[in-house]
Amino acid sequence: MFQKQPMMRRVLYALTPIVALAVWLYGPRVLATLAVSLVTGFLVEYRFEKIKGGKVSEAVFVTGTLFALSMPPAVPLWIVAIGIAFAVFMAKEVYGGFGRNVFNPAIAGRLFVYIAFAGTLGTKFFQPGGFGSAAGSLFGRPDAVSAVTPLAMMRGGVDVPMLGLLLGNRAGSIGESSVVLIAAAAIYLVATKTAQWRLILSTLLGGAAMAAALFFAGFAKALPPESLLAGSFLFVAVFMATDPVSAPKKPAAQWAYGLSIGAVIIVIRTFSLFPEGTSFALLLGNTFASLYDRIAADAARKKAARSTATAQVSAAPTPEAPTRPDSAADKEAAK
Amino acid sequence: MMQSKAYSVLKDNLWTNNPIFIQILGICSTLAVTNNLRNTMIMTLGVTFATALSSLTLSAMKDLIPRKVRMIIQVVVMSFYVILLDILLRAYLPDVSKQLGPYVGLIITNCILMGRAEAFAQANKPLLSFWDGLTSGLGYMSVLVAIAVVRELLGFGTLFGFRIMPEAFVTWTIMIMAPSAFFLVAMVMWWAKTLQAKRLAVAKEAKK
Amino acid sequence: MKKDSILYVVLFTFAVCAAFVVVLAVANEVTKPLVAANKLFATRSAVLGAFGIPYADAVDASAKYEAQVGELERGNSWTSTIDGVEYVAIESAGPGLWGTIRIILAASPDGERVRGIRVVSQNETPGLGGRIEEPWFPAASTAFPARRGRASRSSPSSTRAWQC
Repeated sequence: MFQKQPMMRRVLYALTPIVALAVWLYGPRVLATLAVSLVTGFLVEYRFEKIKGGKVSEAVFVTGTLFALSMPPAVPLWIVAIGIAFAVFMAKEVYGGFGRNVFNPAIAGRLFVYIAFAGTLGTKFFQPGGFGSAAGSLFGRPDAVSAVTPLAMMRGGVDVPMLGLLLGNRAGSIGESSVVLIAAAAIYLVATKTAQWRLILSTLLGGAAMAAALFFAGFAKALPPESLLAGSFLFVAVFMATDPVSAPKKPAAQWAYGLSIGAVIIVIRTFSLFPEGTSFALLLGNTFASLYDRIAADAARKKAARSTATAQVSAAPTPEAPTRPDSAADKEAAK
Repeated sequence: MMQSKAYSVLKDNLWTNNPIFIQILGICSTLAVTNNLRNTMIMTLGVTFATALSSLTLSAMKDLIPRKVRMIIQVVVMSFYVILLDILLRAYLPDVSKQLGPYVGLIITNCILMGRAEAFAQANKPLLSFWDGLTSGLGYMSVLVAIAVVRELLGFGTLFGFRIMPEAFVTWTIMIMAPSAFFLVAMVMWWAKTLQAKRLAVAKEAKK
Repeated sequence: MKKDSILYVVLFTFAVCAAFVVVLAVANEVTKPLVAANKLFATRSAVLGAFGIPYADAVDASAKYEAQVGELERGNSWTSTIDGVEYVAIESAGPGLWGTIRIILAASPDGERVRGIRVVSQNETPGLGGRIEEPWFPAASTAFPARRGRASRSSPSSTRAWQC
């Protein structure tokens, strides 16, 4: 019933400590959110793969986990179900299932519910700590103690303690908390060749460069440098920008992709009404991914043609790379 | 003979050649007015009225129209009905006219009017052309109303302004915004085309 | 006359245009009093609404308007005494997204307290900005004191989500 996808499994392993920390920070409710997300995502994909006669990809569990981790801790469970159903259906299955989607499903789903229920979700953040006890209740629905996220505080000009940002002891979405754990996951993913280091590095560079440029250019609205540690910037750089399906394949294209996402995140954070811009930036990056690939392929072909022009003029041109070649994960799955 | 032709025109415009999900015409107004059932009804009624009557008029005078100015005459006739509609709304339904504002005037830009005039009215008899314009409008209306029901119900929790959903219902802001119409139109197209393809396959099978 | 000759084309186009325009002009003339009455009623009901004077229907509205509202000499401004307190109302206009939004604002003469606001005409997107005509929108603004003749308004958060 399942496609075997070792790569996707490794992403799930990398996410496990983050989930564990989230349970400690926000209480067992996190597990309920996760369960709803995984089950709904699986059911939607199963329903559609049944029509097509395909197998359910393990990637749907990665999508489900990432989606759950990008929700605010006190998110109503029905919103989780709607979001993940939209993600798997509209952002993945209608494009033809795994390996063919243009946009990262988890981010598309997140953005859908964030726009649809902006008012509701905005008040669902609360202060972390002690299995969610800081919110007033260990189990069940936390009381209406919504906390201000660090990004919102920085926009208000309030200083945010650095240590809290590093350890994850600050309000935010479920999985974006700990810089240390996300960095550890990044190292694991890169070491096992699951995630492309170029994508992570270029996204971080793009964000840092744009943040520094705005900060030192003296924009009144520019956020302090430590804002890079707040919000979902790191989480998105490590887990979302590296999605092998929606990211470009050529090295040069990957640099352009990451840099543009990082820069756009900071621009949206700084100048838009929304405090967080990672989702919008990532979808914009996805939109241009195949264009970057095309440009990189064209450039490479021209270069190759020039160097071999003297050797063999009439050499058959290399077949043009398809805009969306099967991803590495697909090939691995086929083994 | 006439009977069966009228039926095939009806079936064509409502289903096999629906202006929205097969011809993909009039999409701009689908995005713009469908977040509110009342406006959708008035807009689609307006389009139906204008399409039917301009098809009738153009078909009646088709032998007199020189080919060189064919399109100019078509536009004159259509804008005549649209302006007439606007005047009538302003005089007899001032509330509606106020709410729809610029949309009534925009009926003229609806591709369905021109499409029917070009594709049907200039080659068919007046009454049949009238019927064609009317059913085209109905085909347009059926899809738009379906989309508007979903959008108003989820976006405001109401239908025709009457509260349907319980007070605790959380409204989906995205349903009020234009992007949701894109999703919904796409889903309607998908549903209709899948169904049509299936029926075609079944019909072919039966012929064998 | 040949159908494709220039003379026929010109004459035909001219005749068609003339015929349709005449019909439209007649329709416009015939409905003119009705449209004017509608417009008058729209303004008067907005003035009554801004002053907070309830009315049942068009006839009642015009009777109440005649009885309780006085028009000021400078034009587009009205005055009324409600519960012994005198209020003035002015018509004001400002740019909206698609066109001018005209409102009537009633306040105490010193500009200290807003009595009410009604939207007279607007061309905003139906369902989005167009909802400023619904009663909840102006109602949100009456709780605030007017500052230097300007009403301080709060923008309801539901409309802001649109701007993302």
